[in-house]
Amino acid sequence: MNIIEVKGLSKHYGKIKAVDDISFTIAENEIVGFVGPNGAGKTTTLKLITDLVRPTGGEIAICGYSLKKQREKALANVAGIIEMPGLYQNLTGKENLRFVQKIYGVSKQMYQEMADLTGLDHHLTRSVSGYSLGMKQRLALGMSMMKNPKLLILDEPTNGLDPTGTLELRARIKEISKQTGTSVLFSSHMLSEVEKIADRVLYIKNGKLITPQATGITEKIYQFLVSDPCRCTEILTQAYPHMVMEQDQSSVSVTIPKTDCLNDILTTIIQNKINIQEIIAQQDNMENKYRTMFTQE
Amino acid sequence: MFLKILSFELRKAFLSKKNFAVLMAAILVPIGFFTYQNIMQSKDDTIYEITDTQTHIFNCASEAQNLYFMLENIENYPDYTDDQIKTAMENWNNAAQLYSVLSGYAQFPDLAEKMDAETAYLQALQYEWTAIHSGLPTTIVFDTIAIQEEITRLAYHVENAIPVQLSQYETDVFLFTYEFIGGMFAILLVLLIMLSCFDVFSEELEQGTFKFLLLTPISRAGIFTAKVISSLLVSFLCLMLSFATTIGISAVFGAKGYPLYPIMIPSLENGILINTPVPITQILQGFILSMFVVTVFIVLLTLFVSFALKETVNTFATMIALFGVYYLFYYHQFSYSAYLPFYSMNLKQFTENSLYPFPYLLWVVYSILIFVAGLLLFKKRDIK
Repeated sequence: MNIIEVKGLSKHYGKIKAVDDISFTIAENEIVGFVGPNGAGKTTTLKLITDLVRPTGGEIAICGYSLKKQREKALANVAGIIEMPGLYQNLTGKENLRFVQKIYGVSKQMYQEMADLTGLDHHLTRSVSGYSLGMKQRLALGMSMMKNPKLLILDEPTNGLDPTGTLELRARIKEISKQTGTSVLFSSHMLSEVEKIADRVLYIKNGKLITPQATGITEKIYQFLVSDPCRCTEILTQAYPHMVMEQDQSSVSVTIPKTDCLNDILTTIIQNKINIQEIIAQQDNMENKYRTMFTQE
Repeated sequence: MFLKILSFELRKAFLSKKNFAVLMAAILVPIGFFTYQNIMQSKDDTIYEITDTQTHIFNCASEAQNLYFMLENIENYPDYTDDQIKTAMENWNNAAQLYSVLSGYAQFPDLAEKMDAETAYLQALQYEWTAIHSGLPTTIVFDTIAIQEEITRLAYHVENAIPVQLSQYETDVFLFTYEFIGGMFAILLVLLIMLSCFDVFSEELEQGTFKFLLLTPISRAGIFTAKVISSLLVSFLCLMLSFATTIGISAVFGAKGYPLYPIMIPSLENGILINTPVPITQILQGFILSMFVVTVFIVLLTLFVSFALKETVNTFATMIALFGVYYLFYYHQFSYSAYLPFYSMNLKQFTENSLYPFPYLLWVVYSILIFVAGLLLFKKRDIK
């Protein structure tokens, strides 16, 4: 089941098209990275999903509820930290957490779990205005998770954090997704970070998604130099209909989403008595992809 | 969910105890000081009033003296008859005599024995009134309206056997509260509301908490209404505390108050002031009505202006704009209706007199318009 479905989403400010006709879906328990240069429309898209900004066109459905028609039901499944962590500065960390507890009727046990999740301990009794950015991020994450959302939206979560904070938050996001089954959509400038956390990536440029659907993060292209490329393509297409394949006179190039598929593919080729002369792994990491996509002009 | 948000909004105002204590101190200390200072000042004014009574004697006596000379040279005043001059002279003389009784002069001891002070003062005022209305030129100008006011006020007390201070400036709790409301209140109200609800929207925008609050499963209209209601309740609480301080201090340091006090009611038809005693129940009714109407208007205006402008200009510019709007609404266009509630303070007149409801209704209509405009703006606006 798709947690979120975005269709033809647009946001125009006069003649400026901040977000222009973008569509994507995010499945359950999936971590999706949202990548693009500054001003590409990442934050605007996240704000559109959280209904902070009203779209010019298009539709958003969260857990099957239309954001336009069933706003409250749709938003009940979403939590997020957009730009800076939104905290009441003159209240203590505890009071901020209690606010969420009261609003969502969260049990004491859950409250305690989330208070522990923040890892702030005795700092919770201090006013939030004295917190460091990392502490604020942790508190905001705890508050967001108290809602037990199906979709967690994070806008550049590691921005301004020191290396320790970044590593910690990264681990925490993965842990949360694994433990609670929450899907995560997060934007970031840091490609290495996205590569480490995300299952898939959405690339956005000038308000438009470059790839129509999110691209798998770990996919690699392998070029097999084989004795009979035609037959090899035929066999592999039958066995793996979803994989993208390209064939030339002497080789077959296969885009493999996960490296552990490589064994299966090799076995299939060998079993069909096709001779493999050479295997060339083409590096297709995020950095290369990003370079191809964003530095063409 | 609406109630949960409302309760949070209310708690938020008090949760930060330090901030709330500072807010309360900022409001209550100056009010208390202002009240105390004015009460003491009013007590001093009462002493001056005794001197004023002596001035009355002098004025009345010299007026009678003038008329005596006029009578001697009657041929030079062809328009006036002897009888008129004699009546006026007699009245001025009588007034002078009665004032001397009041001020403790032993000039006319017989009178003092016969009359109590209040009746003497009332009689003196009535003599003055008749003398002025005898149609004679007078060298000393008396405020005829003020005299008439005093006559009505005193007559009421004499008739109902209610003890009264001779000076109309003698401060008691209720009078001081009226003066306070009528004068200081206009400025105080604006300050109070600005302190208590100016940041209700702008703080959320600044801290980015709207991005959190708007993800709660409640409509934007619900959040807006909860914020408006909580702002109103907090403002009312601050106002009540301010008045409690004023009344408390004037009760301790001021003169003894009476449950009835005559106050002036401006007549819109002829522009003169008519003195009518107003019972305390009517005063309270009017007080509540006017407080409610005016406060609701200003709270809504504050919220609207601070929210509407916050995203386009900075806080300082918003404050300036807000003061500008107050100035236009409160001191210019609506100055009369702003003060009117505190003078009329009468629900019966509000409902019966076709002229009175107009300013109130104007405030109510403006409040509704501002609320609807704010609601629509909040529903449509993108949160940046």
